[in-house]
This record gives sequence, structure tokens and C-alpha cells, in this order.
Amino acid sequence: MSGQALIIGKEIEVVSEVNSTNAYAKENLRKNLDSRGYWVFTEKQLQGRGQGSNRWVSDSKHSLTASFVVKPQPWPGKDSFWPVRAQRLFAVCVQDSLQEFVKKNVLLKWPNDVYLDGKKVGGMLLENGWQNGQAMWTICGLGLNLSSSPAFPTESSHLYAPIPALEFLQTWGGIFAETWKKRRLQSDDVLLQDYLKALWGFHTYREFELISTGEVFGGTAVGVDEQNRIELLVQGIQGIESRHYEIKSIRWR
Amino acid sequence: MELKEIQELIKFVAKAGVAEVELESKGFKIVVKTQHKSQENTVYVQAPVAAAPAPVAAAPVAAAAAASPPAAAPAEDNSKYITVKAPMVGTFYRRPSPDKPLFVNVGDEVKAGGVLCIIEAMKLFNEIESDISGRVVKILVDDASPVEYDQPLFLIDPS
Repeated sequence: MSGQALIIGKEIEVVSEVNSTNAYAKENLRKNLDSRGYWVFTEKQLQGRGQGSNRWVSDSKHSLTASFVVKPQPWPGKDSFWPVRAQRLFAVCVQDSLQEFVKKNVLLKWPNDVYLDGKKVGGMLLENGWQNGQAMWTICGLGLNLSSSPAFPTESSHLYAPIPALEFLQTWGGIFAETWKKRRLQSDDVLLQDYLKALWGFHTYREFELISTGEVFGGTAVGVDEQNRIELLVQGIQGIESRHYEIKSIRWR
Repeated sequence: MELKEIQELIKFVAKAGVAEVELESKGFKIVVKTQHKSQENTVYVQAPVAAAPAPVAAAPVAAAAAASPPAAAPAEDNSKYITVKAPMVGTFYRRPSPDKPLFVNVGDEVKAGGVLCIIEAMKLFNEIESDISGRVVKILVDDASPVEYDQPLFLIDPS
């Protein structure tokens, strides 16, 4: 990590250059366990984690690479598994807050991609720390292509107003914080329904591929279960069957 | 059990020349072991495993009396170790990424809060940290294997 850290307010820390905002946030946690509930933004990320073994490298001031550090929080309603709840909460807050800035439809592709009008423009990566069987901290990493991606340029008509990247980050960070504050108190059921509405490609018949065998089959994504596996309705021999798949089991076609 | 009673127990075991005596009483388990190499007796006091999911630090107490070497090697006893278990279903990884070194190896000293492994579940990455400071005695799961909820992953010697 290099570059001087600049603290903006109490909730956003902007670092000029960092290997990974998640790793930087993790180091912060180890130094000061009380410093939770804030964003780390960087203008240049060198070794962010992308799809599979890929790196999410951003070298533009107009990319958004950031991590939200938060302490696991209690919530009303059912006692759902914190990491799954945190993933849904973070995802809907990302959607809510980004939609404030863009004209086109922001959706989420299960389980952790960000889509703009059917094209991938970013991804999310959640990490949790556990001790004694309890989640101690959660870091929600977000990588978005802004001006570096033709799909989401800052100056293009996708945005309601062209704004400088740093200003965008600060404004968006503030909106996200408000969204988080409001949504974190929602019950599991409300959150789940909003999360399902935000998912791209749901309630549409499409083809999927079973990775283990290469078999292609048709189905409709209708939900996610308590372990965040996708639920597909598939025509079986006896009629319509509900099948649950992990991310590593199937591929969207 | 009072300290005096524990001391009496140590003396009894030392005189008897047995390898190990285990006693459970009023919510506590006490193991008195005779160690050949150090010629010392060690007592570990810990809460019963079933009753306490959170680890209880074992308290070794060196006895003054020397012991006679036992006739047979003691059977493997893991009760003095702290078991770190999986808090979720997922895939167990011993390194942060394929090109990075292992988090820990058998014999490594770890501090409380030190990362032991990652369990990945549906793109959620969960760093499992050591509950206590100690030495990694056993790694019970192979790298990149699926694990179940509550499955034992590591044995840590807190002594």
C-alpha cells in the first residue's frame, strides 16, 4: 500500500493507492477493532480480487473500488444467517444508491454481480471474520467500472449528471449510508423480497448448464434459499420441480 | 475441586506410576498425565466438551514430584486441545488464494485472532480465526474439501 490516507468526515476514508480495499480495511480492523461502519475508497487498486482467480485492477480515478466495513448487527424478525443477510442487505443498498445516479436499470445478477441494462459493470465481494463461532466483522467490497467501462461512463448519458469521480464517490457513499441505516432494520422477509426483485434474469425462462455433466436444461429462477442457493423451477418427469443449486453447480446461458 | 485436592491427586498419580488419570466432577474434567521426557506431571482442567462450545483455556500446573516412567505409551488424548469448528457449510481453504502461502501448518504458533483458514460459501469468504493463542496440533480437513456446519477443523494446544 502506498499513498497518503485522507479522512473525509467520519465515514469515508480515501486512499490514493492500495493493493486491495478489502485488505486495507482488514488491516484497519486489526489495528483498531472499534473502527467499524465506514467506507474505504481508493483511486487506484492494484490487486483486487475479481471473478475466480482474476484480479480486479483499477487504474482510473473514475473507477469505483471501495469496501464497506461493518460490525454484524442484530435485526428484527427471523434469525437468519448473518453472512447471507449481510450479502442481501449490501446488494440492495448498492442497487438503491446507484439507481439514484443512473438513468438505466441497475440490477444484480445472483449472487454478486452488478448489472446495468443487462451488462455486467461490477461485482461485490463479502468477507467475514469468525471467532468462537461468531461473526466478528464484515467487509463488503465493491468494484464498479465507471468511466473506464463503455457500459458506465461518467460523462455518458447513463448518468443523470456528469460529475467528477471523487464527488460521485462521496455523494454516493452518503446515500449508501442512509440506505443502509434504513434497510438494516427491515425484517428478513422484506429484505428477501426486495433482493429478489433486484435480481437480473429472474422469472424468465432460460437455459442453464449443469457444470458437472455439461447437461443443458431449461428453467426459471424464482428464488434463493436460506443458504443463498438459487431455486429453479424445472419441468421434471412428474411435473414442475423446485431445484436448488449452488453457484458452482450451474452456469447461466 | 479445591487446589489442595488437585495437589493430592498429582501426588497420588506420581506415586502410582500410571500414565494418565482422568476425573470428571461437578462440571469439570481433570486429566493428570505423566510425561516421560520432562519427568513432570501436568494437569489440565477444562470444562466438559459437550457443555461448552466456547473454548476454555486449559491451565497446566507442573507438579513438584518426579514420576516413574509408565509401562506403556499413553493413548492419544485430544481433550487438552481446543477444537476450532466450522461455523457454516462451505469449502475449506488453507490459503488465501492458490498462489499464496498456507495460513498455518502443524506445529505453528498462532495468536488469538490469527487466521487459520477460509471457508467459502456461495461467494462469501469467511476467515476463521483462532479462538486462542497456542500451537496448531492437527489440521483435520484437506485443502479445498467441503465442510459441514460444526465440523472440527483444527486442534490447538493452548498450553
